[in-house]
Amino acid sequence: MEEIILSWWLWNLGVLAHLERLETQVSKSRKKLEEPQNTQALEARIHELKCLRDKLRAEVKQRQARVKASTANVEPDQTLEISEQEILERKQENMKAILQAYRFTGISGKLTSRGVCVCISTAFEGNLLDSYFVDLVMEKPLWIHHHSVPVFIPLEEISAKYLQTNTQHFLFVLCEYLNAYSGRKYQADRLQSDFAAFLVGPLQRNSLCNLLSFTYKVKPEGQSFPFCARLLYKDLTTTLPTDVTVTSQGTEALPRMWEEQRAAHENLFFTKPLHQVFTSFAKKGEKLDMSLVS
Amino acid sequence: MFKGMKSFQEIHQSDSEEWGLSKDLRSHLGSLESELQFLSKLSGISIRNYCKNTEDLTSTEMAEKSIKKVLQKHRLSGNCHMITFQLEFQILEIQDKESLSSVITDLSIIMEPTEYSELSEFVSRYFGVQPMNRGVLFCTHSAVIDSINRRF
Repeated sequence: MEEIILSWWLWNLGVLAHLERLETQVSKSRKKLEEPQNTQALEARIHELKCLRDKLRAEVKQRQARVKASTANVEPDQTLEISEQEILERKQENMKAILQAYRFTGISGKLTSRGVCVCISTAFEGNLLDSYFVDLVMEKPLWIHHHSVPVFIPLEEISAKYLQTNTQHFLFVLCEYLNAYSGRKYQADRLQSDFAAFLVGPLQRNSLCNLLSFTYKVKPEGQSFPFCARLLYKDLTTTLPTDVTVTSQGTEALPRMWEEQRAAHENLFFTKPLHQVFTSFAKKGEKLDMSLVS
Repeated sequence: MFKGMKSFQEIHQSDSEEWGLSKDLRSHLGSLESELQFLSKLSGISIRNYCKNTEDLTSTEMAEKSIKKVLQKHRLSGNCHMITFQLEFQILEIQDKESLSSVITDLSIIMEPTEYSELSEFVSRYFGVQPMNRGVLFCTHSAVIDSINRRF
């Protein structure tokens, strides 16, 4: 019995081994059969992925091209830059204009490498007149490099008093002197140019325009006593005289009416600018003529 | 004010250290700013805004005689110490062969009401009696100083 079982057993082993061999053979052949399928799948997959990659590459290129095109037309950063530039330029123009406007204050100037060049703009009764400059060097002590102040204005005197201790006050005082001189000069010029017909002989004047002497009539033509006027402006910071004398040319005593007029004229010269006094003479003359006509 | 003043060179050097896209423009603005500050201290008046219009009134007859007539309209605003004002005026410029005349006309001053009530009165009286004796705004400045001195 045992021999039968053993032999049966051995036979089984043999069979089993054979089956095993067969199995492996089969599985090998199966794998061989499957491999081409896997490769195909892989290859297909590879193909898929390649297609996708190409598609993506194409898309990227497209986008890059679009971005380039859009930045070529309107670069966002540069736009900001331009408007900032514009703003700054406008601000610069505004500031330059304001710098120009400072001349209306009467005192303006420009900074220089060594200090400041001050510009004094003079005016009289709404008439803009000459400007003068003073170039100051900011050292200790302060000194005037050059200037356009006329020689008869006491610049040395004023600078000795104030330049070192209170420069701003120095400029204000100089401003007063120059404005007053400009105003006096303006009045004398106007008398000579606009009212020459009222003058008998030339207007005598000094460079400082603070001593004026002239002979005049109240009416350009016709009968009237000529008067001699002498105006002295002792205070160089004013445009009205401090001393006025009006005298008659002749030596005989004046008739009362003329004496009254003489006194009235003296008062006029004290209180009104010179050319305006003559304007009032001209107007009175017109009134007189009008009354004669009517 | 003049003691601690920087020279133009000193101001320029510090500005040139600034980097920026509009480097030149910025540094120029910096020097303009310091010039304006200096002028404001010098005159006592800070001009904040200014604009100007020019109108040529030269007729053909005038042009033939070499006469030029121009009307300028100016408007500016600013403050003088603690007082804010606005100024509008016109300047008529007539230029002939010999000379140039510039005359201010149509001056109007707008001042904000202040606690110094005498000031407005003073300024209107000052301008009424002696209009622009020393130049337009210099009047405003000295009027302010005088009025303040009087009050205290």
